[in-house]
Amino acid sequence: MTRGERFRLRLVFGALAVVPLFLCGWFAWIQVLQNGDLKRPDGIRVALSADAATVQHRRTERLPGARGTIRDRHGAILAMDCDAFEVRAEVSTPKKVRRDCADTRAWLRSLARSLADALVRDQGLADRAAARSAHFERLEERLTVAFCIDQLPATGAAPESLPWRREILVDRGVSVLSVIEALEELDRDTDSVLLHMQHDHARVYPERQVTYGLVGYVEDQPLRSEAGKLLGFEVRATAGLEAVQALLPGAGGEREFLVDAKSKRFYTGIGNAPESPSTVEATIDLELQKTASRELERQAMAVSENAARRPLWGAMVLIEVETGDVLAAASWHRDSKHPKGAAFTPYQSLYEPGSIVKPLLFAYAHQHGGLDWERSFDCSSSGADHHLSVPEVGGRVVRDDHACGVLSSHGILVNSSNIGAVKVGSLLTRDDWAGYLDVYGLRRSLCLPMPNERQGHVASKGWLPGIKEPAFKKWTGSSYSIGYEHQVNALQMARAYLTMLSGCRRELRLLRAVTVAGTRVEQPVQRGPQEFSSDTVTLVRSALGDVISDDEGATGRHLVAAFRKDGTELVGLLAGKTGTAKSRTVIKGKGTVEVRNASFVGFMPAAAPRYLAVCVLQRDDSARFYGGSYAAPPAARLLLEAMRLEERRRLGQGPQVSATPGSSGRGLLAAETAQAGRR
Amino acid sequence: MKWVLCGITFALSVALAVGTASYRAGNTRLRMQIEREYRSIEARRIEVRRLSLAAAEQATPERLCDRLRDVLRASVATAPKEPAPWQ
Repeated sequence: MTRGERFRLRLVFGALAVVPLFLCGWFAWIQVLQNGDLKRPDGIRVALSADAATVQHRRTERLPGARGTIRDRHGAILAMDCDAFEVRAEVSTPKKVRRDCADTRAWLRSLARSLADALVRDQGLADRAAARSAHFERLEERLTVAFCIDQLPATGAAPESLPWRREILVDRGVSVLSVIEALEELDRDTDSVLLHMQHDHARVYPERQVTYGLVGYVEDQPLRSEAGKLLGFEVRATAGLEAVQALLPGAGGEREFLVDAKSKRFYTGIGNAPESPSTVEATIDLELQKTASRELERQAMAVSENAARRPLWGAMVLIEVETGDVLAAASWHRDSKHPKGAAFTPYQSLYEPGSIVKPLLFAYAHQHGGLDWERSFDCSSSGADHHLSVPEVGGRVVRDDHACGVLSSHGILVNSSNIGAVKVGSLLTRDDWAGYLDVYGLRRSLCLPMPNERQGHVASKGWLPGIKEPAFKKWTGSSYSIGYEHQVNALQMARAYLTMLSGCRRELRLLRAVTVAGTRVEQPVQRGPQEFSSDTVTLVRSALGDVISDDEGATGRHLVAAFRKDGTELVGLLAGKTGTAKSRTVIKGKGTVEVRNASFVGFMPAAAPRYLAVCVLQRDDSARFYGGSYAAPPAARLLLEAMRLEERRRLGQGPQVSATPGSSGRGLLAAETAQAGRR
Repeated sequence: MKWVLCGITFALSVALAVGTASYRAGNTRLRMQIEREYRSIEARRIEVRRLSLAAAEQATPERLCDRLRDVLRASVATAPKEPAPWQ
């Protein structure tokens, strides 16, 4: 090797040696002289360690737990959480558009348009143009607020103080594949926009129209600090079964991934899955719920066919006698604009029950008040209004609907004589009446797992300590005998009848079982102490069977005739009691008005009841409005449907669809279903 | 000779460094691809859930009955009228 060659080799290797020397020097500068951390332009100091480097490109994705599923007694879904994405956009305005405010505006408008286009990529949308326009307006407004566009001058460079990077919410509940793909394409093609697709859930209610009040709903409610500062939003259920605590989402999961400098994602694993959602099995039978809603609506609409005013509200419930399960609870309102703002009438609308309390009174009087069932009561009245000054209650004037002669307890119930009922009620002392209200739970909460119950109550005046026994009997006792001076909701009346028919204190059940973390806990059927002997129950039941008969004076004879015309024989199959009450109530915007309550309580089969139905309709005018004519038909049809469905299920057949098209439960575009806004 | 060995060693270490870097780059590229696949599967899983629920909603007896009524109404409207006896 010549000297020149040796020199060149040394030069090359010497130059190569400069690289490690430079690296050593650089590391010494960073690690020793910078003292272990590095100050970033935003003032945050970053530790110079391998961990810090890893953390910088590691991201964690939250996988929120789903809210529980609500199912009916046969497993049909009433409410469930569906997986979806919450899409957020991290928008950075490019430098070149920041040079001119007009360009900035135009760029942000174009971005809003692109995002709106992506959001309506769903081919199934019913009105894509309207949806696009709505998305565009919403997104443009969000971008305007985020980038303070209102504060920008018309032209010229944007002020330095204005933000150039902001995050906005693009949309929630995104679950359609074509939309997700369009958004991802936009994310890939646009450098200045980074879309974050965060896991989320959208609550869907497959049979929304018929389950609104019963299942309830969830709302995003603001979460504020003690100082009133908005911290965020939380999902809260304020109505219906949604308020059941077991439905709260379980612990969420997490998934880690890595990102590069351009925020591109790299896979590291599937992470921890969130806890599986709980399941709440309601006692509701969806098919019967549909029937109840349809029949109640049909009846309420039919009232107006005879040029009469439609009812103010209606409620109908169906109970399984053996278990106390609420099989259906339908609610109807005349004036509500949206079911969300309307009361769930079976649970939240109170009314004076009228004559439907008479069987309850007679059962109690026979068991505890010494009523001899064979004893005859003179129920003769006088005048065109069939009135009588009843001496047993200090001469209070009581009116009947029609003339009744001498009647036994059985006859009083069949004819629904007010005079007879007041005479029977006079057998009870004040303490007996307290026991009556207690046994039937007319002052007690239903204890159902739903908030905002309007609990029935009694007029307090009669129970003041200064009121003497004769005065109590004359006014309060006689009013109670015919279903006045106390208010109940439809479910409370159903519970009272359930107690009477079972002979022991009963409670209604709305939840059958709750499954949390794979463990199923059944809710027990509640039966209290024995209150009525089987003789008492049989006597009252037999009288109620004769109410639905052809007998002259039987209040259910018109119902029998109407069903017979349609080919259905109700005699011997249905038992029940009609009720018509006139009272006053306060209506928002109208003050105190006179209302008529038409009600009916029926059970089927009459001899050994398996189903119990209560129907109430309230109308705000003074025209006659009989329970037998208006409230009984839908209840009878519901009971017949329950029997029919039971038989079909026993034979392994599915529910049968009515040949008459209606609206309840049949909407193709029901809001809040998985198909909301879609064709 | 020793300089040649030094050169070869250096070349080997450079080749090793480049190989490692390219291997890691390939790994990263695959991870990115897997992540894309994972997200795409997630989107499809969500779509399947949505579609199955939508199908269940659309297949209730009432809705099927409504659809049938619509079809029958449409077929009645388009059916040719029966010829009158004189035709």
